[in-house]
Amino acid sequence: MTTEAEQAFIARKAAKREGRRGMQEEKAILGMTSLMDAITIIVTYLLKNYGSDPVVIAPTQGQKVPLSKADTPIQDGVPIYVSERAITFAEKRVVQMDETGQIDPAALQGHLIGPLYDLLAEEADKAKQMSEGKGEEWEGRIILVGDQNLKFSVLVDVMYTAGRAEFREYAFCVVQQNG
Amino acid sequence: MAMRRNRDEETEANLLPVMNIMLLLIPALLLAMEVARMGAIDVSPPRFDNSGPASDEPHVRAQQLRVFVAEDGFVLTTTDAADEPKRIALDDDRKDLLDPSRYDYAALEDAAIQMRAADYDPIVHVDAEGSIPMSTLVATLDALRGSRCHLGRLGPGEEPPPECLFWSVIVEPGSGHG
Repeated sequence: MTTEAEQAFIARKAAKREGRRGMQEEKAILGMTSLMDAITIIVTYLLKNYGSDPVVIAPTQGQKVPLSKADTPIQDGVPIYVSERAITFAEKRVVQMDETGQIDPAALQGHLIGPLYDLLAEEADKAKQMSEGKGEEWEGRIILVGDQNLKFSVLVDVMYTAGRAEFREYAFCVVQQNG
Repeated sequence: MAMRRNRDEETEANLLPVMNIMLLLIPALLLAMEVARMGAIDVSPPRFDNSGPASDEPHVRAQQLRVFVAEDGFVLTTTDAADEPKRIALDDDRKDLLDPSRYDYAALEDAAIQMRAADYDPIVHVDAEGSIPMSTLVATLDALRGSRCHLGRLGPGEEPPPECLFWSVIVEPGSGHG
């Protein structure tokens, strides 16, 4: 029930197929240069994106940084991670928290967190020497990366300890909320 | 001769499927990546200024706000404690203490707008009960700063615009509530 036009079309296709069978198949050559260009651009973009922040904030396991409408970028400083389980500084677990989220009383002298103070004072000395070497003024900035459930009393103890170690500026690290 | 034949038989690796996968993987990973933009809220510890006035002229200082975050709401006072403390009750007291939405931030922001209009200093002294979670503290600072305030857009040395209310925060534990 095919029309003449359809039969002619099928015949043309068959003829073409016959013709192709006789020809040697062309080998596709892949242009690797353009692909490598694209990948180089993407990798450079990603590296630049990660490298542009003066401080890389990597919250500790299980830590949830509070959300905020604040849009101020993080400036260079020394991060202290305070979760419900522990206080982490320079990738070391400095102090453990108890079940109620309070600092282990053994590590606390009044408001001063002894083990944290030792590390912060050492860090402050190093940073001061480096700044002197560069001829710059030491800013003494602490970035408090606290958990959203972190109690104010613990926050105060950490701030007090940092203050005793001669850190003068504080910033609360937050996750920027859209809108 | 045998070596030459071996070299001739070497075949080039077919990189086309690898590149295809790479080109699919890169956008897929980029899309799957959770990008959390970090920000900062600058705060200052209490300052103890014992140096006297620089000149003989009387030092005119604007009134400053104190905010105490209690478990049952906000308490607003001033640095000279001249006025009666203003209390802002909870928005929903059935909510857990760890849930920051139990507080009435809209009322706090309204109070902040009124106080700034009354020529208060943009400095705010903040204190809280020891049990108050950081999320509530951060939300309180957001409300005091103003929902339309964007400090991140300011250039270096630029003054915050009028929509920024109380943007300079002093954390002053133990100051109590009036």
